[in-house]
Amino acid sequence: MDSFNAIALAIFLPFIFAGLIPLANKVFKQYIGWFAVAGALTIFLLIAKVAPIIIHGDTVSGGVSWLPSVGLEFSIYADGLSMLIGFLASGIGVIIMSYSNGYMSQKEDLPRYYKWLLLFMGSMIGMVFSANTIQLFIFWELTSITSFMLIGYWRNKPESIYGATKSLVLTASGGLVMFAGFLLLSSITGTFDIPTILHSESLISAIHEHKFFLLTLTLIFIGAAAKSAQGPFYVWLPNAMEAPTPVSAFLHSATMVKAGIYLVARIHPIFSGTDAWFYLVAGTGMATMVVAGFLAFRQTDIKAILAYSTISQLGYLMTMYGYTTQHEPGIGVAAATFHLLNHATFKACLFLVAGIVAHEASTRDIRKLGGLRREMPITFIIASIGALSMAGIPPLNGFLSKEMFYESSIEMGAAIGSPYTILIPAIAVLGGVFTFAYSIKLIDGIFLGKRHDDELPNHIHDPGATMLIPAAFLAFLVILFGLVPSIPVHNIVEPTTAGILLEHVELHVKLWHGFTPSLFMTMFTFIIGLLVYSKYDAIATWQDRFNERHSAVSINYHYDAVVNNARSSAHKISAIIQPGTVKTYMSAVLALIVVLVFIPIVLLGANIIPHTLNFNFNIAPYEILLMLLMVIAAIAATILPGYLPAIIALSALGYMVSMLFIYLKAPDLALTQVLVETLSTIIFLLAIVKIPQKFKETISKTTFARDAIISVAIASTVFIMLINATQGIVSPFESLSHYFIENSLSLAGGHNIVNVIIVDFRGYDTLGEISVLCLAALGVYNLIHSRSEEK
Amino acid sequence: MIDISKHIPIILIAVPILMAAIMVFLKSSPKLQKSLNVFVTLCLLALSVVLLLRVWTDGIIVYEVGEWGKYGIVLVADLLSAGMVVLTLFVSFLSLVYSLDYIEERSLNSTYHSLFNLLMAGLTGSFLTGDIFNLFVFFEILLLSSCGLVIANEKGGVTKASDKMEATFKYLVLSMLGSIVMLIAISSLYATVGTVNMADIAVKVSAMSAAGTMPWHIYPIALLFIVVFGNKAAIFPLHYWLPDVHPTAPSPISAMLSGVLIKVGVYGMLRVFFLMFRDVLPMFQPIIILLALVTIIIGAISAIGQTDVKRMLAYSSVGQIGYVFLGVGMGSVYTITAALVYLVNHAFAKSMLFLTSGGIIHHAHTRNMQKMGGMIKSAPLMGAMFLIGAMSIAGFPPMGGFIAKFILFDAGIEEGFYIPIAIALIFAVLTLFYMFRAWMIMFWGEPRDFETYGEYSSHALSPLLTVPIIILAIGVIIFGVYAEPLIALAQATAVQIVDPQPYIDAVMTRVVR
Repeated sequence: MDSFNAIALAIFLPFIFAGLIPLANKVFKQYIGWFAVAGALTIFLLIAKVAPIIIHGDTVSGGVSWLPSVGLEFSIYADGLSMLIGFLASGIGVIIMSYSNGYMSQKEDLPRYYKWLLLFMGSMIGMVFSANTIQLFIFWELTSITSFMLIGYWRNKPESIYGATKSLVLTASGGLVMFAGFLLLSSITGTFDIPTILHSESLISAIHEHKFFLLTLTLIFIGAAAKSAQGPFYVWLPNAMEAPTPVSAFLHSATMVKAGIYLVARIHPIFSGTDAWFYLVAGTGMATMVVAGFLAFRQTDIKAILAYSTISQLGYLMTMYGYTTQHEPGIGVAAATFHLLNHATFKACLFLVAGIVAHEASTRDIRKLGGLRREMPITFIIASIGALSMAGIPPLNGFLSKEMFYESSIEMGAAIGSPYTILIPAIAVLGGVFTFAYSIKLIDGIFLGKRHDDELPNHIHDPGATMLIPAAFLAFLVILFGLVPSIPVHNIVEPTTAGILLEHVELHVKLWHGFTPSLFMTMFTFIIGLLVYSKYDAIATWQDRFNERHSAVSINYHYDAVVNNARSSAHKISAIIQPGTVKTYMSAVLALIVVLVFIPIVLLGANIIPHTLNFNFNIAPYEILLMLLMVIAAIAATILPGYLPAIIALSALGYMVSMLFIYLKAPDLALTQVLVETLSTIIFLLAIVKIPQKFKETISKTTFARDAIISVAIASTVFIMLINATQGIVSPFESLSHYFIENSLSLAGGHNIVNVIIVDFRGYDTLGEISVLCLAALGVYNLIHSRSEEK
Repeated sequence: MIDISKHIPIILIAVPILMAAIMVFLKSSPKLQKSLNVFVTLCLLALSVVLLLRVWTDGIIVYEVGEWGKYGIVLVADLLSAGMVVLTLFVSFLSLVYSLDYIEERSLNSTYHSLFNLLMAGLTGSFLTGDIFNLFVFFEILLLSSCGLVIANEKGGVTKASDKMEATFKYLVLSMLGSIVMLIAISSLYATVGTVNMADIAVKVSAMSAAGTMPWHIYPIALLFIVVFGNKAAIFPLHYWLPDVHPTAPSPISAMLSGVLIKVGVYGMLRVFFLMFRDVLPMFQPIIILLALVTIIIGAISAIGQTDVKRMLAYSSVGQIGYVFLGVGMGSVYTITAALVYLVNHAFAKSMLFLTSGGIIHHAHTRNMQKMGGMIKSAPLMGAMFLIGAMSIAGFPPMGGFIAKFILFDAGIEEGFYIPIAIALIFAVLTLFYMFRAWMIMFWGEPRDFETYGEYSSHALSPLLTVPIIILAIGVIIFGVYAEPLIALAQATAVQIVDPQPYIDAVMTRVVR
């Protein structure tokens, strides 16, 4: 099996496994989770099989024909970056699914749970290995919908529904915005293929010089920010914590939220090296990092702390990927990549611990927890490793990547110059301070201090191996990566960085690297962090007061206002547009007719309107009289009060039309008209017997004026049309009737041309009209039939 | 022995008309009625596929009704009309099968089959005719047959007869207005160029344009057809009848109306403007783009405000047809390809959703979504099907609706219509919102208060109801995962639309006696 097939298999196998779940459920029953684990492991191994090639510095790419009509292939591109996320998605997947076997109760709907987990994994892997933007978008939206399903796993709970809706609305619509960016990108470059753009300097410079450069970048970045909960879009992630904890660990900290980071890294070579990139990506990242870090510090639910912490940490990554100058486009790329990996390990570990704690202590409220170190010693150790790594304490992996973060911040600040030389490192430290503070709070709040006996169950103990081993394994990785950084750096970070920067990369990461400025920054962070933690109560009171006074600052407030009022305000609007009376609707249609006729008059101007309209119709005096009578009858029909006089006026009008036909030498037409008129008058008269004889509607003057204006406008419009149309057939064309006159006898054997037209030349029309009549009869029958049924 | 394959166009129209008559006489034997109607419709579907394949391989087929050439009436099957006929008969067949168990017995046996056949005849006739006056005749058939079907009763009906009457009344009045406008336009046209054959009109209009003798009133005549077809397609401000009619109709008829009938309007615009009035196109395009955008906006906003599931779907149809017209209005081969792909996908997804709504009504005995909830446990199949349809309408991959939106937006951006595409995109987000919200209100959450609203029905849905929905769902997914055949067909069709010369040649080279 070659590498292309291995990757293609890795993309599709999760979907196949998910499809097999109902079947497998019959075999495995409560052990269905291990079936899913086997699936995830297979995929991990498939990616591992390709890994040596990528670590060696090559890429895997290829494609098969998919939609040639729009120039789209199903294509795969695997480099270090996609390999890293691919490993995370499958590797953490294995860990999470194993853990779920202990976490999820047997009473739960396990097949559904594992089905969506596998579907998510497949979407994630499909996304990172996609070589073109459209395919990437497809898998991107699939991760949104699978995440939606998993957040709403407990689908009867209002909180789950709220969280699921929010995540879908924000991430999927962010995705659509990103999609627009992709389409703009392809309209600039003429291709959907990402590697083609990455490896073509001429295309990249064309993008940089294009008038839509900033727009394209912004649109794509909005999608990435929405997915990775950056900037104002962060609000969905805390509510996504309604999902089962393993799902939160998997999707909403380790993998799916990294999709936005992945995308930023993926388009890094295309857009970086510009001011726009720095301000947009690093700016959003820094703001998110600090604000979310502060908010995390203030949460009471341990999952909420972790959620805000994730947002803040993703802000770190954005910031680092955003560090760029024209000469050195990728200042923070290596640091960001390493931190991405490290964050996935320690944060997933902490989420699993949170799950364990909630599982055993039946609460996630940090105010109720405390003093669990004796009862859950192993959990305590694992949690401490994770939290200390997050806080950046040596010798854990979080320390290393945070050092690199500080280094790159100093470098970036120096590259731009004053005042950024100080400002950027200062912001970085501020982010670090909050991280340190909430990491300590997590450990202190759960495991240290006094036990709240009244709030907690009597017996709390470490969970079984199914739940402990996955968490312990992640903690082991945290230590391993910290002590021997060369393993992840050589095998993962270097190829990934090379994939992003498109050049060969060699990194030297050591635990001890001398008294560098970044080390001093780290020490400074610890001191301030401890200080902030000790002032927790003061900060808390201040923030509560602030929230009370300025509720409109909250983004959630605005989201809720829009979404909750969507239905009622939309209903108000639609009630205005669609008031329900036929008369309004008719007015709209008539107005459109008038407008459509007048558009050409205005646009084409008077020059094309013939000046020589022929008004010489040779009208006889009695014809004038007849027409006057018709006008009077028509007006009478509209204004007479009461049905009976109106109907009489209307039929008078009809009979006069048939008289007109007689004068125009069309006796058969006149005869038909008389018949129709007689019949409809009789039907009308029969009908009005059943209904009240007076118009109940009183018409106000304004309505009358409006109706009169519309009527006059439409009448004059039709008049203008017809007076022009009846100027005769444009030469050299001639009417069909010549053919009919010549041929009706010779070809159709009839003297009466009208009859021949009806039954022969256009007999098919007649068939249709007969059908219409029968239809009317059937419809009326149906009506009477169904009415009699109701009684 | 007559060679049937030569007469397919007329068979597709005449046989349903004949069947309508036969069905009246078979009133007393409902079983025979059902099986005969299903069988014949299936045969017609097969024949229409044969027709499409023949047009695909041999080019445009012209069929003269009575060998009078352009002086009589011709039927023309090009890729557009043959494709629309296949789509029509496919949706018709599934709706018919669905009706057998959905429509109340007495309604079904007495007139339903006849009316349904005439609706099919009206549709195939409208698509296949090459004569503008004949199109008028078939529009009348469409109008009256759909009115008759809207008032048919469904089992355990949740729609009051008075609502149906009100809706039908509005539909009739507004459609008659459209008919009058159509008559004015056709007669003015005939008085100017002396023919009602579409190809002949095309030749004469371009000849006048070339000779500089084109009278100005050709422009308003052409633009009046926007009213005619816009009324059928329910674009703003001609859409007012739709949100009343589509929800009150029985679900299989809603599926026909929203799935196929409103597409007649799209078809008509393509025919009239791209074949007959090519000179008016520069004036037509901005108008239709503007109307399409307003339609999209009004459809999406109004859909958000609904609590009635079918009314929401109806407003969604208004919005979605706006997207199709956006593609039509932009007017290049690629955008028209996109419009056609969009049209087909909407036909599948929306008829599927309406059929599913029938199943939901069957289950919950109400159309009000707020009186539902938690149905994913009691009606999982309907939940899955509604989700598939909703995803497709919202343009979510891997459903067909995504491919449609992708091509439409890509085509629009390629043509430089940035602002219209931006608006369309924003309202696509709203579409996503109302579709998923509706799904969640109905299927997630706690089940409704059974004491106030009654228990959910415990009847399992019969296969006659579920199989058509599942077939459409499979179609929706296939168009999302592998849309190449559809896109290729749409592209070839769009080429024929943008360059109508082969159509004109095929009709005009007929030898007349």
